[in-house]
Amino acid sequence: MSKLLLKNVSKIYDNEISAVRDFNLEIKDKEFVIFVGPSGCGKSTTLRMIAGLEEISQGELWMDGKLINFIESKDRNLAMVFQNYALYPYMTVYDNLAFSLQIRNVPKKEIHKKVRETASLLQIEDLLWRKPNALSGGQKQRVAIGSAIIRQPNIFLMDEPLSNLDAKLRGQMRVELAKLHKELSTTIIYVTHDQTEAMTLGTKIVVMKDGMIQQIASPKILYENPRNLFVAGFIGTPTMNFIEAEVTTKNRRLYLEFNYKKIKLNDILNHTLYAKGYVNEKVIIGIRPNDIEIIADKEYKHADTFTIYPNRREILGAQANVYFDIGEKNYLVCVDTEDEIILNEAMQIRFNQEKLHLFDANTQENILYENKNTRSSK
Amino acid sequence: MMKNRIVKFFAPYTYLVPSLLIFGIFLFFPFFKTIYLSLYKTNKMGQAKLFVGLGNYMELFQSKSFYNSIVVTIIFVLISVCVSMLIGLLAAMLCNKSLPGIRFFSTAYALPMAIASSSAAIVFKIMLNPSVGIMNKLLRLNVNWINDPKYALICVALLTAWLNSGINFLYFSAGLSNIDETIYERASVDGANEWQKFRRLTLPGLSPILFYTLVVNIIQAFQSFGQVKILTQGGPGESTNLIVYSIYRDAFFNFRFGSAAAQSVLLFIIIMTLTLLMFRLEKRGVSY
Repeated sequence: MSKLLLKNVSKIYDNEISAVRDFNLEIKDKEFVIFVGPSGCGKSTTLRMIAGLEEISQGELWMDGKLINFIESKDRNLAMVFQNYALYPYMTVYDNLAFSLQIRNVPKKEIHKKVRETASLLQIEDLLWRKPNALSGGQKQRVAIGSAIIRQPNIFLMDEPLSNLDAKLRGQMRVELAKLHKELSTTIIYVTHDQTEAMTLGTKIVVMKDGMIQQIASPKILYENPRNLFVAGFIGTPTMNFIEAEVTTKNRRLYLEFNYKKIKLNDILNHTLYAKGYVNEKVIIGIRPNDIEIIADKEYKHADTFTIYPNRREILGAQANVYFDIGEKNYLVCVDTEDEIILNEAMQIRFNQEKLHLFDANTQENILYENKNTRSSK
Repeated sequence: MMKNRIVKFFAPYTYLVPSLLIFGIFLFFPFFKTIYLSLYKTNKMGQAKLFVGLGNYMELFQSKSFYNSIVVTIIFVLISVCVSMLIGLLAAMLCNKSLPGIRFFSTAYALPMAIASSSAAIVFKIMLNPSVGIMNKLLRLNVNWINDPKYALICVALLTAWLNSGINFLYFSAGLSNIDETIYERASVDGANEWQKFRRLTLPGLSPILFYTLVVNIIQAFQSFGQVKILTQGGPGESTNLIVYSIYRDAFFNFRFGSAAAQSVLLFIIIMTLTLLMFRLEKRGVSY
């Protein structure tokens, strides 16, 4: 139930390796913020700095208009769920839940009431007198969450809380966490390396890499308008296809040329690339497997289509993944399972240019980034 | 067929012979011999001469000196066990933090383990010397530490505490490093202060090791001998006449081997009862 502001926060270790650089973020009340990125990107370190478990090397951390860099962890009024749950092994589930209240000298009756409430919310009433080592992973997880929500902290911090669970349980807990966020209506900061978790849970996602923020946005914007190559590749399953290409020109029209293939660009892209000076430059095409159309008519040929030879098909259910090669690299297109695909036989496809992404081959920035932002705001 | 079975039956015992032999000579034989001697009056060579039944024990129960040595021993055990466990625990907790130079301190705290009790006693004797000792010089006092009945027992007890603290430190360090670091982090975020963390997390986490060290320390303290022999010889008066020293004195100064044997048996019974009692209590107080 608090606002949090991180200003140029950095973490530099003794050996001058910086784990987090220039982290700027504003977290509003009741937001579900997710830090996501590959392991070692500094997301957990940032969370631990907010928790006060790790010293902030540079920058400022403000909570509700108060600088809290030097306030001890125990006085920040936060609650944290750890990756390994960190249950107190010598205490029963009851005491684990009650611990944060007991040390605040809350009257016993009230503690009892709250423990009962929390236990019934998380459906762990039957486990109250067990010790943690007699619990399964999912039960431990619930106890850990329970001991965090039993008190009204300013902010919940969760450090990969679902990563030790099996896939099915993870899916269930994800749904329950989202429900919990609604019921508690409080601020949650959640760290994960799993982009599916990030996309399904978060209202605001912070994508990190090598200690730097790559992009802060809602799941939808991240998916539709990634800022750079990394974000585009990290967010979304199946992963975006990347093809190195060159922008060529012929009669004032621009084409993307790669591996002896040539596709004509539409008016908007034509205009943008001219305006930004990418004629005869190298770019990277990014196209999601769902944004590739298959042309049913095998004879149909047009300036924006090209031929591929599918070499493998995976049926997932209603949808199927079809793989094809361009040059040495393997690419993927999503099709309906009903579609008739004959392996190793020529097939026409077309990129949906409305949803095409183009990245600068040198800086890896999204060339269409701001363009799309204005478009979506209209 | 028959031979085979005999070999099968005896084979395991032959493997046990070497250790049984050592135990037999140095443990079981003296043990039973002591019980045997405690029922006799002996001559000066320690040979049993006259069967007196429980006579030696009756004499002990009427002897003021024996009661005194029991009381002195209990006080001594209380002080030395409490202090040595406290020093060990405190040192272990300090060394559990990662500070520069912590290796040096760890070694220093574990060092008493490697010192023989009698050599430590000699060092203490010099330090506690009323005229040249560093203790009086530092504290600007003029106390005759070892020869004053008020201080002698405390001095011996503290020396023992320091000697035993080394091994305690080692046990506690091992115990502390077994406690998961993240539960302390969670406790910090939960809002616990250092004392609450110690009481609710560290103590229960250490309890099995605490119990074990307590038992070992008590047994060890009851059997202390070297430091008394060197430092005070049971004096002044009988103020440091610990039971083991009293046994030694009865046997090898007064040549009353029967009485000494009876005291040994009683000491054995005391330690045995205490240990059994503690294992009974353990089930309630120790959480694993």
